[in-house]
Amino acid sequence: MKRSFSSLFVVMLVLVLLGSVCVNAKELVVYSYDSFGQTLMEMMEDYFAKEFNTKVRFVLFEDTGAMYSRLLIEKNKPVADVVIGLAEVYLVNVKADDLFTPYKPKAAAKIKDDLIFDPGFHMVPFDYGFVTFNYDSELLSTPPKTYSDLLKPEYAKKIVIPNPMTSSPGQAFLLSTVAYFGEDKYLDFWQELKNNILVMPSSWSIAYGIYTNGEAPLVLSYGTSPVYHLLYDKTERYQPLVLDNVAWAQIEGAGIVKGAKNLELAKAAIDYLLGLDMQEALPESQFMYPVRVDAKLPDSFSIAADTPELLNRRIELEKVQDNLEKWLNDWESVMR
Amino acid sequence: MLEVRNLQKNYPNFSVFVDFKLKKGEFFSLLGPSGCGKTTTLRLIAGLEKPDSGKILLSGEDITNLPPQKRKFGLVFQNYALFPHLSVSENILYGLSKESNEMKKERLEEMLELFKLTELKDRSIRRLSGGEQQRVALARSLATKPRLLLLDEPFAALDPSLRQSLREELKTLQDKLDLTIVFVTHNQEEALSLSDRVALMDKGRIVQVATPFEIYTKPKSDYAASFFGQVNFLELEVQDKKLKWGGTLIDIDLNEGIYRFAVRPEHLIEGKGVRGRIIRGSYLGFAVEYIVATSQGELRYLELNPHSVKCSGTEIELSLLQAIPVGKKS
Amino acid sequence: MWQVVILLILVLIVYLPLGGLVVKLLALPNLLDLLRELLSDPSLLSALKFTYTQALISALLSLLVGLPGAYFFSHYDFKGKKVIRNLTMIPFILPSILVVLAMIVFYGQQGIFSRVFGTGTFIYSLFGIIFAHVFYNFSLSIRIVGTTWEKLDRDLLESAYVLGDSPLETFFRVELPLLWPSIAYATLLSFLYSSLSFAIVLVFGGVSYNTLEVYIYTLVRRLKLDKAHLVAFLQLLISFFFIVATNRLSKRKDSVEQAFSVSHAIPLKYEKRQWIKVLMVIYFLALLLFFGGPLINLAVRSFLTRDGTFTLQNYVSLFSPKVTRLLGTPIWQVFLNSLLLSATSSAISVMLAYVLARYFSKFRPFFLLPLGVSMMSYGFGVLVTLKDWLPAPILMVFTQVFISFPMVYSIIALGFEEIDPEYHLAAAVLGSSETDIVRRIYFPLLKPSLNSAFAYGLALSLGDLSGVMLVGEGRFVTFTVALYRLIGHYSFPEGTALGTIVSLLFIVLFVLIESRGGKKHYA
Repeated sequence: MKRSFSSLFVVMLVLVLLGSVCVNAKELVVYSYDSFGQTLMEMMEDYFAKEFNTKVRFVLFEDTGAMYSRLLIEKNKPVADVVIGLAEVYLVNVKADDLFTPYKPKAAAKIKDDLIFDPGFHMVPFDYGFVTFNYDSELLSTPPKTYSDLLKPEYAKKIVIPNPMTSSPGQAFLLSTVAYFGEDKYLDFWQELKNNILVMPSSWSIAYGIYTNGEAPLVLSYGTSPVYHLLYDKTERYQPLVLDNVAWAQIEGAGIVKGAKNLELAKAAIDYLLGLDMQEALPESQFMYPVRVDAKLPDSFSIAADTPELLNRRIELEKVQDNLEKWLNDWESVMR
Repeated sequence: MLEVRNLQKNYPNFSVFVDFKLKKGEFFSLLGPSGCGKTTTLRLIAGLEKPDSGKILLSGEDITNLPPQKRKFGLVFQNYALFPHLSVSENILYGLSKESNEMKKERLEEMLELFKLTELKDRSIRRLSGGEQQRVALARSLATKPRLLLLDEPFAALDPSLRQSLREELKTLQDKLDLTIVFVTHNQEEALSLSDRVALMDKGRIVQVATPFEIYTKPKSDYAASFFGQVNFLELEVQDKKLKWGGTLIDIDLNEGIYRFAVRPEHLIEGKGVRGRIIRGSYLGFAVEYIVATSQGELRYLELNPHSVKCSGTEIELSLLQAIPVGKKS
Repeated sequence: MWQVVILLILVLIVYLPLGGLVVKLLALPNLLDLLRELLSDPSLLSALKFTYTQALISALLSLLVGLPGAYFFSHYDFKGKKVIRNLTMIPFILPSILVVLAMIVFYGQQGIFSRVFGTGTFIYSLFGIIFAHVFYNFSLSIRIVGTTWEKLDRDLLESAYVLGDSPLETFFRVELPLLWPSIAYATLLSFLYSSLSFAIVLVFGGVSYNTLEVYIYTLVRRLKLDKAHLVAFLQLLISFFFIVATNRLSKRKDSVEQAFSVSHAIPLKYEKRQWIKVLMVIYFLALLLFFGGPLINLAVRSFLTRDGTFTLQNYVSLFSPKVTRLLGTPIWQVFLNSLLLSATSSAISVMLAYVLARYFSKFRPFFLLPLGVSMMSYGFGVLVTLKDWLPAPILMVFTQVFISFPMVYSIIALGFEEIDPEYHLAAAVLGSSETDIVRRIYFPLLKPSLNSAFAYGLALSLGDLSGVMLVGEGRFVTFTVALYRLIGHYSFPEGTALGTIVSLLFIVLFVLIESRGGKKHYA
């Protein structure tokens, strides 16, 4: 017994020493969220190996909240060079916390105008998706067409929305109601919608799982969600649903961490992210749209939602940042 | 009072089959080596095991299918099975939970006094000696005034000096309370000294039921004979109602033939008979036990009230006081 | 002396990071303001109230559901016993996302259960929350109480029977008092696990029910990290209060080790009476329907296409380049990673727990402390203390030990309580060396506890996402990481296939472990 414990201890000690010896040489450190596609990571690794003879180390986080708090913890001793995948709403935090170094990418001119949420380029948009409802055409013959349709009794207990308090698409949908109905009216909408909502799970994954298992025919997801089912399940059963031809876009940005050890490499990474190779590989990896106007969309995207009007531009980002907590709290007290 | 009729219990490689009767106030022992089925028999009587066939009658009433709760028996386990989370009094009162408080109080005092436990009544079980635990266990099972007391090796866990005095206490108690007792033991001395009758068991069967005197002096088999201490087995010839022992003839009520006899060491005595030479002697205090090489093979011989211990090699002649026939050869 | 080294290892793994969290909190300049602000927030107070009320109800019901199982498992031998016992642990292995979806698919408004029994949307309610918690935790009572019960000296019960008590009276007068510490700890564990519940509360309760975990998570999402950590610390204090209280309550005036006999460590089995058989069948069928139903349904679905025809596609697909690409790791490597990590860390937890339970039993409440902290807070502690000077593989094991240790420790510590110290003394008098005593006395006596502890350690570690993500940086893919990635990428059917494989592997593994050195039976 005693011996096995001592040996355990020795093994741990040896591993500690080994670990400290093996501190890696020069490498680009990229923070991203867990669903950042393997294909994209490999493309980037190959590119940096070939062009700069440098390794890329991806660090993936459970969610963007975890990623952002890590950035805060490491603020004085940054580990990451580049961050990929922070949503637009983080911009105000990023600026306030002074986390990123602005960098205007070479392809900046090619980015769709209304997607550039930060003219100062602390954060650069690289992909986006519309947060819209989807419906299961086998379970629902008459889908709603407008926001007010959603309130009809025929959709009672048929709607699944990821919880705005805990999930990004959920929060995006809350913002779209604020943008669409206005600050003073959005709660009335929710008050009525409440009866038709079956459940508001903690994450998009659970919400979407509930939907694809036939428990409810309407789910808040992305306009591009049906693309997956067309591509891999060869079915058009699941359809996107843009209400009133407006939608909130979840625009995801990338940025260079202030104090990054490899500033030039980080810039190259941002440029590569906005390069055509990457932009055209994005759609079928992330099921999101590329931000470049000149990027070609794959055929499968024909089933995705038609491009609606962006609700994002109806409220200023600063206002979102200042009021988000109040809106969420008000929303919570209405839904309770 | 208790009648166990063709009771059978089967196990994959073993079965128990017993049949016996008990009189009221009798002290009945089930004796045998471990694994002979004596504890199973006790458990069958207690209702803790269900028999595969046969009947148990108590004063004529069929209790074969009565659950243990309703049999109103007392049972003391080898390890006493006292409830470790309860005190001495709480243990004694355990079976009286449905009685009135007055009754409980009265019975508790009675038991505490009877078993000299008054001083210990609030003690926890863990801080009792083995002998005290045994007394509590007895008190607990007797507090309910059981119709029958079942004891499973109650002395096995005690040291020998304590055993002797507790044995006497038990006997006194039985007389005093007129208890009917079924007593399980593997210790022949205990069985002989306590019992009115002894049932000797082997491989799940009762091989002999008799009074202690009878079972010791008239065992019906090799097994029964050898169970109670050392014994010499000899094949001897009987002719004309006479048993041939060396040069002597001894009267015996048997027909002609060669028989197998059990001869206890103390039934040999120095005198005319078979000659031999002492191989070894061991001094036991009240006696000396010798191993003697004779024409009949090596014999064990017990000399009571010895004056001295004879050296090995000493020539000796043994005469036979008593031989127990245990089987006929031809 | 070496025991102290073991204690220090645990300090390094658990208390140093937690200490880091506390130091960071104390260093906050506006700590008092934050605290005042928090304590005056009515939604925190209502979250507190609801969290612990639902946890208490969940824990008591888990106990109630588990006790009959503990009774049957400890008293009778029957075919498939080991398989069933391990089956009851599956909810612990499966990540909450899969359990939640399994329940919805079975009990939801379109679920089989609702269609047969017409129960509609009943699962989306407080009842659903508690039901799901019971589903998770009932196996704890079966295992923990069952292990103690199995060792309970049968003579005690029979004495009670002969003295006139029915089995039920005996249960209340003899068994319950003697099983009490096991019951208390099984309930404490269920209680604390239920109090940390997150996804279940949100899915079944919606916004109507706010728990502490939801409150903390919301704070983190709003980037109010200081506040979040402060609430996590409050949560830790409350949990610690419950741990200490349980520890007090479960202490008995006198030690009762002798109620658990050495010969019964190899349990004697009772004959089943007819009505017991009937009850057993009813009980296990109920378990099968209510708790097995969702999982079986999920397993069946893993063999179906979206149209409902039989297919192996979901399984084949797991090995396809598509899934390898999605996971970034071939699936066999995922299994290997999971198994290696959980087996190593669970084994380390068992070793640590063994030594600490034996030599430092006075510190018990402190050893259970990790039960009251979620991985998020611990992870923060790891980041501010250990992250920079320990290599990833070790940190990874640390996070898993953190998850499994308190459970493993509780089970082993309870096992120790049932060993009569006289065995140790007797062996020492007979001249056995310490190693001999360990090998010949403690291990055989503790074997059922060690097995259970290892099984739970493994299950808890298999189901962990946050710890693995924190240290593995998303590149170390375990079963749970893979499952979340699959479900997060529209591949729910493949996720069910993966869940089914892992559950089966787990059961086979533990049936094998428990069969090691077959049990002897006495006539």
